[in-house]
Amino acid sequence: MPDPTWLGYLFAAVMMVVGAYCLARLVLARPMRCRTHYDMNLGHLLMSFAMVGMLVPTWNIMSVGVGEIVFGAMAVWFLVMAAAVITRHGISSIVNTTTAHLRHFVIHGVMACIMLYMYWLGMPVMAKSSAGGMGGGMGASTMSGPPAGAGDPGLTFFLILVLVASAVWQLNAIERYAPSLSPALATVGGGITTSGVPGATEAENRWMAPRLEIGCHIAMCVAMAYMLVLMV
Amino acid sequence: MTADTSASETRSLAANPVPWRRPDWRRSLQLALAAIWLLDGVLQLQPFMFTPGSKGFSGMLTGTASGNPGGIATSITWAAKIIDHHPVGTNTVFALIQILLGLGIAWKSLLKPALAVSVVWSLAVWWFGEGLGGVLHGQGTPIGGGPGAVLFYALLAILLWPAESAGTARFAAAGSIGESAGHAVWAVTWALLAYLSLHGPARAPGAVHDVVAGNNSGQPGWLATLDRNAAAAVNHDGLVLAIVLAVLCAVIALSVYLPVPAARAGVVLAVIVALAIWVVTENFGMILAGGATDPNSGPLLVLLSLAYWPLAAVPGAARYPTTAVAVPVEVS
Repeated sequence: MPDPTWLGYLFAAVMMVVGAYCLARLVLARPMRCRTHYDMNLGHLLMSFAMVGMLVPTWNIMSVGVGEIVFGAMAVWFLVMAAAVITRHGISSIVNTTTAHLRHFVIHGVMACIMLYMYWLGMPVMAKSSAGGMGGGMGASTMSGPPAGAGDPGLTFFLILVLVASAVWQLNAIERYAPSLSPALATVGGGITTSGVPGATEAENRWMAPRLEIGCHIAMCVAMAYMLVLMV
Repeated sequence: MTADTSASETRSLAANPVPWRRPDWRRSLQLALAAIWLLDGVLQLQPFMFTPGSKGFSGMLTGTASGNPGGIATSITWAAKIIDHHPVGTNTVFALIQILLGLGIAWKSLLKPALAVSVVWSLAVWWFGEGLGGVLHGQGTPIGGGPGAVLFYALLAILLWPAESAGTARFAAAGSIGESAGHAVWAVTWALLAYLSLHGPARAPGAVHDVVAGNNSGQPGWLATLDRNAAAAVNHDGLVLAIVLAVLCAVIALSVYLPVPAARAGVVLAVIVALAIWVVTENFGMILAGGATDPNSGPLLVLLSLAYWPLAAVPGAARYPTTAVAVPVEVS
């Protein structure tokens, strides 16, 4: 009988790639003199490796206790950063075009909370042994999801919607970084391409592969939504 | 600067973005449609969808065949048999298609092909997955998702098709097909819903009660309580409710031809009706009970209604300013 345990392995493999890439970004950003979101990339790294452990328990490297501490701290960090932006720019900064970072802080804070939610509800997704598994719907012998009735399906569904919306929103924004733009656009708004450290060179103010960073976020949103769907 | 200036500028632009522009109303609706497709794709990955037999995906399809004319029923059971024999492969393909549709609509470079494919896919799913929405055997009542939730995906793909004149349209749906055709589409859609509200078993005294009470199983406590209370409230007033729903749909259908304030009221009423259907009679597409693959017609009707929200009339001018906002370089 077919069963979707291979799907868990597939998502786990994708998360490992995402995690490895985010680690590389953290390590190489400074030597390459590129700017990157260190907190977000660290968050992606930790979340991806935790999700690998949830999807395939035999590959787990983060215990539940450690995970809860890590993601609790992460949630607090991002929410504090979001509060700081709102304090500085006002509540209208939620929709203000000049405070794009606020949305990043909020969504990553929410993702950290989702990780906590999954820990509390008793993930992992897959049983340790998938040999001879029999498919048969939710709770099949090869799929050890959270305890029956765990969590609130309404809240889980809402979180799925948040993740899906974030993935779509970020993908829409990816066109900003298309390399086919005319050099003339670089002058729109006056010097917007070098808004980093005054006196720094253009290379030093360059963001590091923003489209790949967005791609990592999208992959994480889809994987996380899949895991939540299993919990509904 | 050296002779490689233009190349370095290009590479620089790849990493340093143009100013961020908030998506306009039409683009926001496209993104909402993309999100629903992505949701459908993720829901398709539930474990039971990969299993053969009556409790799997093929079983769902087989259930939609009953009541349809012979040829249609035969084609649906034929498709169900193929899926039953290859549940993993077929369901993986279906999930992947829906996920890619969602991502394609969200990525502007792939918007048109994604919308085009979504129309074809929606029509195929309407036939083989929803049994033509039960329209041909009187089961297409709007409270149950009739005339087929997936039809609205196709309709929205057409109404939200990118167009040069979209920026000056009086409402988002008029951007691709024009105001007259847009009005006609709205009127026909809601008139059809009005008709289906009274067609066949939909007007039976216990119709609404049976639908609501039947949703109870497997729902979270708060929703099950809502279902019980709603079922008790409607009791055997199904005919009255069917007439009320039909009248509301008819009013909504006509509202689009009225002055802007009345048209706006019509859109608001449409959103309320759609949300009431989604929550009370569709129970969020039964997603919370587990085992659903889409949110049903409610959110799509909401999206459709929002595509008809009258926008501020500025003849000849773009609906939203296109000037960029100078912002510090940030990854959004």
